[in-house]
Amino acid sequence: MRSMSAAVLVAIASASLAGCGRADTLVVLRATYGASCGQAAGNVTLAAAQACDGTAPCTLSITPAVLTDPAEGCEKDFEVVWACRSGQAGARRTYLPKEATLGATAQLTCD
Amino acid sequence: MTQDHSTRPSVMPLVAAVFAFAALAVTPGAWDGAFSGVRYSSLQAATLVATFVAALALCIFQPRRPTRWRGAGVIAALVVVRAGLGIVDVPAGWRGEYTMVTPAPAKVGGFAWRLAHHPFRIDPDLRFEGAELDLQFLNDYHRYNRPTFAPPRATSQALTFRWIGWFEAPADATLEVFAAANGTTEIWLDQARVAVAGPAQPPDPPRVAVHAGWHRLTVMNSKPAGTPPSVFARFLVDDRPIDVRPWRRAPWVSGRLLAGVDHGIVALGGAMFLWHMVLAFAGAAIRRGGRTAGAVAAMAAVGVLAVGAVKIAAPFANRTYELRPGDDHLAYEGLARHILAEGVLMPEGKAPGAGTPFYFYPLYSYTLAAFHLALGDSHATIMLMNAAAAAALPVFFWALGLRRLRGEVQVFGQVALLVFIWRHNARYFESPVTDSLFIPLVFGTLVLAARALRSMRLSDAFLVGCGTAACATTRPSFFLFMGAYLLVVLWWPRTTAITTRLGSAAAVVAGYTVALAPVVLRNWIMAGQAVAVVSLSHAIPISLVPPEALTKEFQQDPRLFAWDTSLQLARDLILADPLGVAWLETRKALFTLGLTNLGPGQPALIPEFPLLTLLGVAALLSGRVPGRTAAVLVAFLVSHLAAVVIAYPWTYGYKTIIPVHLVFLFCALHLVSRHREAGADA
Repeated sequence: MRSMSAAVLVAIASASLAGCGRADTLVVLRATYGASCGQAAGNVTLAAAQACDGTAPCTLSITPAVLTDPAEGCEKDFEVVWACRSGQAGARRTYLPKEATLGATAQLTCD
Repeated sequence: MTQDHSTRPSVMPLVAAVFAFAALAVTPGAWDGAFSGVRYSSLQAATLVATFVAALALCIFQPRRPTRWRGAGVIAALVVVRAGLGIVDVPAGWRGEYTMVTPAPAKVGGFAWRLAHHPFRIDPDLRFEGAELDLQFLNDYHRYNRPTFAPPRATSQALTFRWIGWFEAPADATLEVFAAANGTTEIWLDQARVAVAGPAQPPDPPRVAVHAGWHRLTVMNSKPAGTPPSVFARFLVDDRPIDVRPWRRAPWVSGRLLAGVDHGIVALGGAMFLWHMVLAFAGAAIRRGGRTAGAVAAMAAVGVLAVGAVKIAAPFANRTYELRPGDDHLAYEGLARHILAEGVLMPEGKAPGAGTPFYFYPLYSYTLAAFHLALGDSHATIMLMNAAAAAALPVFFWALGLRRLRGEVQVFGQVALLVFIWRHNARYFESPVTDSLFIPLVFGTLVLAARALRSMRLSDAFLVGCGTAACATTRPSFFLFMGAYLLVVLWWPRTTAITTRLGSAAAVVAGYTVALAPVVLRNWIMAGQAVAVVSLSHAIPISLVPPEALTKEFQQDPRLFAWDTSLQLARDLILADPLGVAWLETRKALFTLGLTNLGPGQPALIPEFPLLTLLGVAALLSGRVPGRTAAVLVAFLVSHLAAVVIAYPWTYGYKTIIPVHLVFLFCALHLVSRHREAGADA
């Protein structure tokens, strides 16, 4: 029985320690695709959050699979604002100017 | 005076295993699980499987050493600690309340969470778009007289939502609001409105000062009819995303501590069984189990299915779904919710005589309503009920005659049954469709029928009639079993006096009539038709058209709903293409016997089905299945085959043929081990 109790304690301790040093993750706060073409702020927040929430780093691709094109034929910019769970460095922003064409990527990190 | 424990069967390890893992599955654990905390890792799952396999092996090869209780005692203590911690802990998330504005002041039902009803749901995050809100009261198509093929109801209905979340600011700080939503949205901090959100997010998020301590955030959204729901809200306090709680309380225990206790239970359970395995085999002090092994194997199979039922349902507790339009699943869930809210399916908003007979089979919805009443509106209830019904199958297999085979064959049979259920039944657990209830009801009735044929007692025969009616109101294909079984009762027990046989047949009919009466009376009062479900006239012409050629217009042809025009239509269809109809009927029979590739849409052949058919038929022909049991099983097989040929075997996959192949599996096991009573019974 002693060996069993020891096994239990080891299992509990290892499980409790398993979460130590977990990597920071991010939450998306706002994402806008095509503000330069008159699109409303936050028009792709839900899609960006779906792709990147709870991860870090996250490479957000401007592809039809992730973001639908809100204004065809217009050169669109892309902006994403996010924060890290740890609170490190507050709300962060990445901006891709008008050349944010399909296939471009935005890197979201918590470093 | 000392009793020698060394020769006692040692089933304690299995009992402890079933207890420990069932407890793991059903007790509340970490905050995000309604029934259970851990989601097993591969290592944990492997440990669980290995433990059950070890437990089953121990039933056959039992160590002569007595089993000590201390290990099980420690497991029980850990389970109690785990359950206690899980219950008192405070979850993270928003307390969401939902109301339907139109067409009526809606009773939106409750949500099951931690084994209790609540008028709210815990939403971990405010990030919803379109159907992602998945509200269960949108399935109330029947109450609001909506067609089942209506567009997504989350869009068509006007709805209001309110989410409440508490957070604790460690010091005076600034709260930033990032929010957008369709419709009208207000965000309140304690008693003050701090933001009004529209479909677009402002470039500069609203900021407001908060003092140290607890604060309540409220997000209220009203969405008009015709607009899809879309809600997004995130909050930063001093640049850090906040985790809200549904109550003003901090979490009491760490999720990691709960997971640690879980791991401890699994580790201890595994260690216990490995230790007993070593004792059993290294010491070679083992004894062979016989009947005990079979009974315990059946119990273990029930335990595995019960644990599996809870484990597959657990992730769906506190989660509700707007079922996709159309098909039977929405009808059965809608009818169950109607029963829950309005009572029995009598008035349905219509005057007596102005209604319609049951089109959907009523017993499933009544049973589901009872489960909803007990366990809440969560989708988990549907999955739990379907899987729990399957958990009765090992017992029915055992009672039908498996118990009279050798111990090893019984264990093998139960394992084969589990594999069959996992491969074929489990895929239907997530949907409210009748077959999940129909299949165990069929086997329960077959057990009763075999027993009644042996005893020839009137009470047993009466119960067979009741069981037949219950099955038939869950899937009408079982109506034909009644006639086939009466033939068996009158013809088979030739050594029994004819008066006894006639009395038994009369008792079956009496039980059937009594059990079916409520359904028939309802249809007679509401629709003026003394039938159990909608008339068979509807099915006959439809069944003569290949499924690839069947159109919705044809299924709604008014000629189908009266006997004379329906039979006329059937005759015309046969005369127009007699060879085509003959092939269609053959195709239905072959599909039912396991050639699943003959189904519509060219589905894959499932090889074990034709194999089971061959083995099952061989077992029946060889006389290895006891005579009376075999007679009952043949009556079912013939009646079911006839029923699917008259109607259709293919609705929503191949679930209609599952009971046939479970019967063949049961028979095939007799090829491995002759039934002890086979000779006498045949």
